[in-house]
Amino acid sequence: MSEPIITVKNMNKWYGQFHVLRDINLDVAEKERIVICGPSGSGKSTLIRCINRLEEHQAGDIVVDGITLTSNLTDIETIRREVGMVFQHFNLFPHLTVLENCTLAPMRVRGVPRKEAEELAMHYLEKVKIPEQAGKFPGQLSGGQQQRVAIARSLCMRPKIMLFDEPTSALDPEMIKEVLDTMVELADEGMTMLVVTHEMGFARRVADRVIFMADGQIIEQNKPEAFFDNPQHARTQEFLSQIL
Amino acid sequence: MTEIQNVAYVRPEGEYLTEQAPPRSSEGIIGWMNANLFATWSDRIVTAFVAVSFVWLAWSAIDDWFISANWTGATQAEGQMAEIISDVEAKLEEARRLEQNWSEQAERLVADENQNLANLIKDIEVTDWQAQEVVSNFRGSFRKLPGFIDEQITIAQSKLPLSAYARLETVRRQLRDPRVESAAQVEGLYELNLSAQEQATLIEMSRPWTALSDEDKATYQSQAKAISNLLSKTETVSGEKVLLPLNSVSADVDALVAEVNGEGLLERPTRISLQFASLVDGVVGTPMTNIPVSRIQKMRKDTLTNVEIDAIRQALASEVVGPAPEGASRFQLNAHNKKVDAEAGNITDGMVFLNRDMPAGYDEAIENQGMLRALDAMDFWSAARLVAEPEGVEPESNLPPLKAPLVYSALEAQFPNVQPGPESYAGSTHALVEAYLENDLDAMKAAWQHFEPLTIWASGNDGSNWAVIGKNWTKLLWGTYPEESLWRVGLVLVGLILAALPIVSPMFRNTAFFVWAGIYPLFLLFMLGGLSIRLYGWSVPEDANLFQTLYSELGRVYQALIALAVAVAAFVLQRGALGKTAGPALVVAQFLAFIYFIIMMWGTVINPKAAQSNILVDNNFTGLLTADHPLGQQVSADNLLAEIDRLNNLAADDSLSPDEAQALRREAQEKRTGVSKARTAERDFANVVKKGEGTFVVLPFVKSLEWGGLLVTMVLGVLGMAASLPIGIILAFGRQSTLPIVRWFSTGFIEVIRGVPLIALLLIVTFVLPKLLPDAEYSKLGLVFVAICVFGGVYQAEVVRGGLQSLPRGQYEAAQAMGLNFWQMSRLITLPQALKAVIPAIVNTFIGLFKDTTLVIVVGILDFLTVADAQITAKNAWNATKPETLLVISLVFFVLMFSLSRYSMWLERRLATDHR
Repeated sequence: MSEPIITVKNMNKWYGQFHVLRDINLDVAEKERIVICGPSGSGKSTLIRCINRLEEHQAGDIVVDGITLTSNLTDIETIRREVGMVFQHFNLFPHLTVLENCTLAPMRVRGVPRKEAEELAMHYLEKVKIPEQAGKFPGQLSGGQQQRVAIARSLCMRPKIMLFDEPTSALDPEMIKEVLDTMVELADEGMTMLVVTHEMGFARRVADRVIFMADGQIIEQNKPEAFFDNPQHARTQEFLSQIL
Repeated sequence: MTEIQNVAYVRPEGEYLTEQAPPRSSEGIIGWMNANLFATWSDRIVTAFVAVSFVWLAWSAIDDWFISANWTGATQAEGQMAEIISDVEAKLEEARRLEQNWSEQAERLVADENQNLANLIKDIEVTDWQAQEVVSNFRGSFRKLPGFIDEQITIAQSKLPLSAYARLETVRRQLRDPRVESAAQVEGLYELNLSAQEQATLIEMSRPWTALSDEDKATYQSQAKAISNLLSKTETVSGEKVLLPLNSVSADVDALVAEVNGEGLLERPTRISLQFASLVDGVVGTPMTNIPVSRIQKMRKDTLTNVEIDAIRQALASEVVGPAPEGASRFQLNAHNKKVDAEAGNITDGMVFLNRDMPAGYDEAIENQGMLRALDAMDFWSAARLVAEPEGVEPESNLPPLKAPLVYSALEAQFPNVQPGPESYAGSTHALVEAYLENDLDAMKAAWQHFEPLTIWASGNDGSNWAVIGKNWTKLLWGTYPEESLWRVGLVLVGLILAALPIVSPMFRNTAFFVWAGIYPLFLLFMLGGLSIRLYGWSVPEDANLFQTLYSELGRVYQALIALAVAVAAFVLQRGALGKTAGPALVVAQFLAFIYFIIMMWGTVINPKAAQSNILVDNNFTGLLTADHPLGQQVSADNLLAEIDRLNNLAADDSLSPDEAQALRREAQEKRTGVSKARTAERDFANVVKKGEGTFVVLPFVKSLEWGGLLVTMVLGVLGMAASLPIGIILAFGRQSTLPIVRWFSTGFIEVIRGVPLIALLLIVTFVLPKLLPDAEYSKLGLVFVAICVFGGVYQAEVVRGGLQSLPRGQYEAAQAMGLNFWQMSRLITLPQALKAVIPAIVNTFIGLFKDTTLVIVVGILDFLTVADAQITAKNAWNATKPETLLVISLVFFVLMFSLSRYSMWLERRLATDHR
């Protein structure tokens, strides 16, 4: 195993007095797919938001792609360039068209010329199977389409790592599939992915490793077969028994 | 039962339904209107006809009822107006005819009169001196005769009309005076004129003196001096010097008078005054104290000398108070004298004029009741317009034309402090009468011009008088902006349209238009205000310290050049490699350097005041104040000093009497105060000339005080709106900044400015701020503009902050997660959405700000509303047209603001991205 692309060491985080992440240790190898699950309030989202510094941690180290996260703005911007993120509520920019949503960051952050950026955007929109929507505004699309646009938008930055923060939780059941299909495809291409999700089918099929979190701690992690078929910790067993 | 047919159906090829527009709404009022009013062409025509009729009726109602409400009196007087106009026109014709007769007659009369007056003046000159001596001694003080002789000569030169006018004026006033009850009394007033016989008596009484030989005159003068000395004798009572009582010296005086050859001369003033007094009593039968003093003052100018008036007063006062008690003590006598003096003070009001003569030709004019009636009716008419109906003073149309006391009292009640002036109707009638009596047709026509609003109104309109707009529209649009420079206003308007095009259509959203919009404020400033460029001639004051060197003209030019270099360097760096990392900082640096550049250029290279000095230089006025120039000879300090020396030398001459020497020294002393003034003027003048050195006037300077009307409102309103939004955005970000100093400053600034009334802010920037800034002349309009921008800015700041806070947190997170920095995120993601969300609030603030610009009235800037109020309807001529003027101004504001409101709604629709 080569050098991990993400290293989290003894990381702690508090919201005021509330200890939300407790002594997290995590190494992620390049091209590894990790699914993080756990009951709500267990700190899953907070953990991945810390990785691209949307949240600040108070103790411990996070090293992403060789850069240690501090409050240095330049470092943060460098890391964010390399880490794509997909949100539960898509967070597309409603005043821009789908194409503009996708070309904005490459043009502004990476300095890609407009023409190239648009070609890139169309490439990824085709990949998520909605090239025909490029001229529309996000408000005119369905939830599933919007989430696929959000994935394409992140991919346009050609990130090394993708973070998914419950990407299907806000979707109708019939739209979940189209998003998951896209994510599977992405996984098959070898993208490093950290996915917070409750889609256990997806986890079983795609994940290299499943992490179970509760009360701000990593309780258990394992390969998916072992994790699902033979959970060790009582808390994990309880959780799995409730959702499966 | 019929058989159910097979329901299977396939639409034949080529019969696909095409797309159709949705049916018209049939719901609500719009639906009803669509169905009933706009369905067919005939419906539409009928609807249009009804709508137009309705508007017409509504307008007529407004025109006839709303505005006419204040015009009842005017409407009643309308009939009279036509009559008056033709009457006055006839008078003009008649005046032309009379002019011929009168000029002949007048020449003759003037010749005679000059002779008479010359004699009279000669006599009066003497008696006056004599009377003055006596009376002033009696009163224990020395009174000056204020240029009586000059007055007499002026009267003689300005001929007869003054007296004719005086009589007319008196009659007119008497007619309005409710105390005058009978025509006989009015007629009797004329009789106050001295008859020829009385005149002769007056002259005759002065004869003895004129007949005296020089030697006798000298004797008399010494005797008079002796009498006066006698009368001024004092004694010391309780340590205080008091005059000897009259009765204690009268025996001595009598004895002395008896010795004098000019017997009876000393009695003369008292005798004459008693004669007048009896005349007055006999004719008027009114307590003289009731007669207004202004009338007396006007009249007596032509007739009585101050000495005579004093004498009359004293005599009458003595009669009123009665004789001093027998055997009175000195103190009692002093008290008695004081009483007489006090009473005499009252009697001043009771003096009645004495009109010496009245040539027959002018009687005609006085007798001409038609003229008077016309003028009276005119006054009545204007008064009627001014009397508001609800006040309970309803003017009656059938008031006797000569007496309209109700209207006049109402008029006086309305304008207690208004004196007739050239701008008022009263003043105009006054001027008209004067011109009429003077046979001055041009003056008559000029006076008639003041009635223009009335004539325009009377020529067929009923109700409102829109001539006020037609006659004053230039003032409403650009105030007193010089007419030869109006093309500059036109260019500014064209420029505004070009600068505004990008916000109307994306078609114009390219670099050229943005650059134009950016430099437009400067373009406007130079176009309207003028531009003069100074290419050399800057200086540093000698022995200046470091600060003064920096602040000097040359210092500021160097600073400007450095700032320009910094701006250019920042621009180059931003375009280059540094732009990626330090882009925003470089943009800010460019901006600040450019602002600094402009500030340093101001007053040095850009030289708005140079125009004055250029005029001086161009016209070779530079030597204006030097001793070689005729003007300089009078006012240059050197010449004044020379003149002072000359006077002092003259005064040193021994042959002069002390009084004469004293007078010369006083004159020299008076001139001395002029020297420092002349020095200051010369220095200022030299400075102005020097400032013009090296200056080239591109566009002549126009003081911002000359901008006015809609121009000022648009400049303040449109530029204020344009500037307030960026200020607001900057402050909104500042208030949300994580840097405490920026946040505290922004919050404090917003709260302080927002907590101060705009009027207070305007007063502060106009009157207080210049005291805190470096000593220079600041344009009031500029200061006010800054206040309006800042005031609008803090309101916009809160609006924009509201917009920023309304955005979902996810938008910020998504932008951050994509690696956008703060500036990119604000410019591309948050600000566009925030501004879009608060368009209604922004436009609301815009509209408020635009209308608030009218508050500049408090610092005397003549904006659209103020110019109408202060320069048009404040004049009596247009006073009654306030409703029309205000209606038009409101309409213009409404059209502008409604357009803005519609634009914002259109913008909201265009930017809506959810249901395209």
